[in-house]
Amino acid sequence: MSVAKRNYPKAWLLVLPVVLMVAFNAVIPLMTVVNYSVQDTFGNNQFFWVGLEWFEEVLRSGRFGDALGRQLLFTTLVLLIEIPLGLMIALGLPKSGWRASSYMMLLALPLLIPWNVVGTIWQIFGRVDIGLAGSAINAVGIDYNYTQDALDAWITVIAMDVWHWTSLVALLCYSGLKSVPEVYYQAAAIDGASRWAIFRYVQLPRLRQVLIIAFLLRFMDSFMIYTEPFVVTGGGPGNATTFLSIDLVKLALGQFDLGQAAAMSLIYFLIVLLVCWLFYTIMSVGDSQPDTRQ
Amino acid sequence: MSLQIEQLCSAVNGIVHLQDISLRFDPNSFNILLGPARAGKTSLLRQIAGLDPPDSGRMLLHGADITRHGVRKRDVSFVYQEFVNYPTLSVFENIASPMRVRSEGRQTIERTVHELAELLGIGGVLDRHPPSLSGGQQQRVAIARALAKDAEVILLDEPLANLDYKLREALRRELPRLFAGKGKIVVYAATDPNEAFLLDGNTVVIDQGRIRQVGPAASVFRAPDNLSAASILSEFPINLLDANIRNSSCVVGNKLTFPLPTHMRSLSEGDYTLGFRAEQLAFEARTQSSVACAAKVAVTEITGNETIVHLDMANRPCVAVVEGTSSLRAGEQITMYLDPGGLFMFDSSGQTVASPTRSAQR
Repeated sequence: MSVAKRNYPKAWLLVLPVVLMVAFNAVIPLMTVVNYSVQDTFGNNQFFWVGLEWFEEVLRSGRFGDALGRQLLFTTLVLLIEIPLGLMIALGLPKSGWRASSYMMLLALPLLIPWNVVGTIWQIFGRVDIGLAGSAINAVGIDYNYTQDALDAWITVIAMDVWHWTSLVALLCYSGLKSVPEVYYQAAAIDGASRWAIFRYVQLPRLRQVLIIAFLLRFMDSFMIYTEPFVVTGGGPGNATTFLSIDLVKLALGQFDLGQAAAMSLIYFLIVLLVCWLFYTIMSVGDSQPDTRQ
Repeated sequence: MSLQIEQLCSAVNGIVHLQDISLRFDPNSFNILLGPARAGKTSLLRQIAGLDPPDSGRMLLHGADITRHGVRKRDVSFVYQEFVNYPTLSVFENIASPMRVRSEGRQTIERTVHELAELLGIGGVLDRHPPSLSGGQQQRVAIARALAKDAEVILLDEPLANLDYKLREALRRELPRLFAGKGKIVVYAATDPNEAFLLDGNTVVIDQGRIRQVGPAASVFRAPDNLSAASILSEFPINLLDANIRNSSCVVGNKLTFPLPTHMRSLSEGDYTLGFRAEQLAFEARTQSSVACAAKVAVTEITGNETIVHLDMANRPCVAVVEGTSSLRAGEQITMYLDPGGLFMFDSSGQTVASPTRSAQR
């Protein structure tokens, strides 16, 4: 008892750096945002308490609903493409040898490129005048212009995200597949199991955990996407590719509507938190059962 | 009607795994592949399963050449040292899986699974999933799955190695009974000579990719064909000393000389390797002809009712097993007695040239 008491202040001293770090990079900025979201100003650095009015305004405005809808559609499409595609790439990769390592390097390449550079690459790539893809598509007679057509803009932005991030899913799945001991494949072959059965009963159970991680990472990242579509389309044509974070920046820095922007950030933050929690709970539901151990 | 392997050879990246293997396994036989780690046991099982193609040689099942048949065309089942089951399927579905592949009827599957589960004592856990079972139960599920496949050849690769002592004993006692009378060819790989004795089957001693001897464990133990078979089928390392035969006596080093025992009289003069098992060394003379040898104690290990004494004899490490507990100190000089009737003699190529007669065994 006395030992524990004597060590008590020392323990706090050891935790202090972490507490300070978290305070400065998370708690204090978040509290500043909360502070803005409940006040209004008419200049002169004078603020008035407005309660939840900003939140009501954001939620009632069609603008937020539209951006949220676009965001959900974008994230859904991206997940629907990237997860199965990444999984298929991982299944098709060789298990070892120089070919495996060279594929690994090729796959890692897009992940190493900074977001705004990815945006610039695709912005130029898709241009109808000088872009390789843009002019080639027009040359074969398809009318394509991502600066004027909403559908073309969406296709470009989604293709860009798939190009940039499918590798992450593939690499995660590949590492999961590598954890399957060789004897399981042998046993399945001796049992005469089909390719599908091997995937379903040998590989998929081992991939479960990495798939949850891949899914959550890709959800969060695509739900908060900003730089790449901003560089390529700037949210246009019109508001066609104005996703939540682009809209938020327009509101906060374009219109300098800090109160409304703060309220929107908090709602945005809560949505990400809620959806992640929901997905994680749903996807790891079987974990309490013993069948996914091993 | 049998599984025949003819002059099978296999090498991977220039390293010989199997060299000139010729064997014949009969239906309703329990065969034990006994050898140390890396001896080629698993390589041979993989060949029989069709997982690896041989470099040369043939394999015949019931007279039909199956050498070029891949794993899916072979009629084999395999039990691994690791407990390999489908983790997301229930125990019932695991056992049923080979029958589902064959598209058996629902009633047949139901009946067979329950029969096998009863036989293996896992009837109570059919609804559970393998990872939630103990190691012993998981291996029982794997064995039930192998039996459910109803294959002609059942291969078991050290199936008891990952089990703890008590479970290993229990399952080992049951194994021969599980396969008996089903007309199967069972091939069981083991490193522990005790398993060969206790399972009491046809023992194939394999070492460095070659077959050293084939026969019942007891007779291989009694009359090993060569040094390799003698040392592999021996719980404690067999003791080996350089010996020389001249003038009807055996000379070991410069201190130990004794007249040749009767079973060595026919040997010509020359250099040999003298071999004897740990049980043949004793603290006191058992017979009149017992030979006294000077030895220095290195380490003693007490296992309850036996003491394992590691000795330095004629500048070679030797092991003796004596009854009871003894309190020898390391470095102590003692005299051990060796019964010459129980000595083996090997020539320079490792072939047995003299082994004790049956009556000389204790």
